[in-house]
Amino acid sequence: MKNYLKLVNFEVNRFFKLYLILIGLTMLSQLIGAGIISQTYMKNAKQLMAENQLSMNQYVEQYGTFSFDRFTDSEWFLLPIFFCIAMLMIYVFFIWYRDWFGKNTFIYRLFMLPTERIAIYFAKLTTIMLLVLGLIALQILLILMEKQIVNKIIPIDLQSNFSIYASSTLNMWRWLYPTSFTEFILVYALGLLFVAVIFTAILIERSYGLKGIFYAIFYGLLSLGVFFAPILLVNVYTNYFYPLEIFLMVLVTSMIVLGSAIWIANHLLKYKIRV
Amino acid sequence: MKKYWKTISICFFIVVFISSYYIQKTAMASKNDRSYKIETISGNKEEIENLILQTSYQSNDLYHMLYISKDGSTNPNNQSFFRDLMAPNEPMILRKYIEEHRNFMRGKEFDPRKYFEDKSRLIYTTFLDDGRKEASNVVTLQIDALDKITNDSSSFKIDIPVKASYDWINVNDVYVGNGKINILTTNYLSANYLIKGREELHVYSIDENKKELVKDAILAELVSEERGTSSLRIFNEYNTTTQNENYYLYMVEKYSDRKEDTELEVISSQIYLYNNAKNEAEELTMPEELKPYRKSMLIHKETIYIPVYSANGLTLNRYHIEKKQWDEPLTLQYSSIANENDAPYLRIAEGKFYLVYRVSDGQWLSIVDLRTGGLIYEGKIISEDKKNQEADSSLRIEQLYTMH
Repeated sequence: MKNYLKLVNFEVNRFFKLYLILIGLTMLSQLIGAGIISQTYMKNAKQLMAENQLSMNQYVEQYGTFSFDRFTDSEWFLLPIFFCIAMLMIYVFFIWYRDWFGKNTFIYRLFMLPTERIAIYFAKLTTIMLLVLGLIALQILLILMEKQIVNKIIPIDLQSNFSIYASSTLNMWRWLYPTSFTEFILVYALGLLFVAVIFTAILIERSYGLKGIFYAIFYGLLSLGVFFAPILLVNVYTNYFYPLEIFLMVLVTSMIVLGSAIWIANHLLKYKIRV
Repeated sequence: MKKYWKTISICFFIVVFISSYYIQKTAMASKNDRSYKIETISGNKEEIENLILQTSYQSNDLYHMLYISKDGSTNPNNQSFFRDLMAPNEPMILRKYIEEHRNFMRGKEFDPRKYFEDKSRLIYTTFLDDGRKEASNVVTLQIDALDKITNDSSSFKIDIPVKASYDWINVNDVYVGNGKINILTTNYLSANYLIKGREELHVYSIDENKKELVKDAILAELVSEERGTSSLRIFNEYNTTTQNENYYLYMVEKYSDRKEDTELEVISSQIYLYNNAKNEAEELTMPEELKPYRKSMLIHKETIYIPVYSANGLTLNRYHIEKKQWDEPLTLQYSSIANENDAPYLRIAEGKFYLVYRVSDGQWLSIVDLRTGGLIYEGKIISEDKKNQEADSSLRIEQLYTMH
């Protein structure tokens, strides 16, 4: 356990600088964006009010209010999120390959550690989850700050109601922050499952060389197939299964996929991996 | 410990922000929740024992659904994820079937109109592919029956010849009696370069023992030239009962072409009654003074009801189908503050009528015995959060169920 925690910390440390850059870029883009978009809106609004000699109420009647969506639908808000998603997706691969293709084959040293090799796998998996959830948590803080910026620039009377706690406000939001905490756990557990499958596929490729690429692709497709089997079944037999049954089927296939990913990874790390 | 600060701070950040987000979210959601209760004013509380009101209210620009019963109110959308999985939101009347006949209900559409139930049987009818069949002159009707006593189920299919390939067949009701199954459907056919689009009202009569089609009666048909300027309306209740309806009450109306900014002018309006036992339809003539209220007609067993609302209350006109006579109307005196957009809710069920109308501090529920005309229950649906004035005004009654 101690070794696992050390490994997690070690992996976090390795990405930390880049992580701070990601956080910095996101904050910069979103906070500046919130300011720019509100100011542009206010400038237009003031101009229209002056030109047409409108009071604030008259302006709202004619042109409507400022919706926070205007900011959250803008590239200022969305681009850094997509950028972070892309970076983390690349890092899912990079977290392994850097150990082989880095300056010195670091993986050799990792494997020599007096600990179960699967701990390395779990540590990398945990690191990816921590990095993802860290950004998810950051976004909550950011959106509260951004709302404050908007409130400073645009009077409340000119704004539509907005709350990050109300359901179905932002499309992007609904994906990243599902309605209930249970759903949140399920969505991110699913994410974890896919990362685990990719990790195992990488280890397959690392264990069998060129042939390994095909094995890895085959394994990935098979895992996807197993995972989606209940969903396929439900589509073929429409209405046949009740929601609880569908959920349990997905749960069972997910366990199979996750279990086999870990088992295969363990086996490969112990006996097959090439350094 | 010091060297772990990066990992610890990420973990701390995650736990604090994500958990507080969800705690706050739950708190906010329950803040928007409203709760209502039924306060008995007079009469026997047993009258509302099995009553469930399906209502909705508006809060923060969103509509919320709420069930109100004698025990207070519950929001079906506020169920937990797992509770939702156990009991999803199918029509209330079918919930009992799913609980009691889980296997029989598999693969079936949760549409009460497709079901028939009596003491011993539960029957489900459906047109395969909703009656769509490309380049074919038959549609397939499937009938599944469950013997509730032995728990045995059976199923058979019948190919029904059709003149044209329909786009959609909508089952409106199922009647079962004397070895016969009658299925009331609306068949839709959209126009193409060969044929005109049409909407037809059919009754398919099936011989249950021989498992064959006995009759395909077309009760009404609207051809596309008339579309938009004609309408077909069925008055039988569709989502609150799966019992036999001895009569179908329907109306075919035709209107003059709509000119801009003018109201549609009714050219003809015919009301028909279809007798399920005899398999025959006859036209119903309505007294001239009741014609303006024809659209709010209700049918319950052998009686047609026409409610007429006025400032002083409700007059419920009654026509007995079998006796072919207009009975003395029932009246209920009340003063409502409702406006035009806020019509009272009326439902007739189990020998009683249930009326819910708006009063200054909530909604008033009256239950009247149809036989005696006497008021047997009065209650008020009020917000439990007394301070919330807005709560009372946005509550709308959508459906009233009497559950057993």
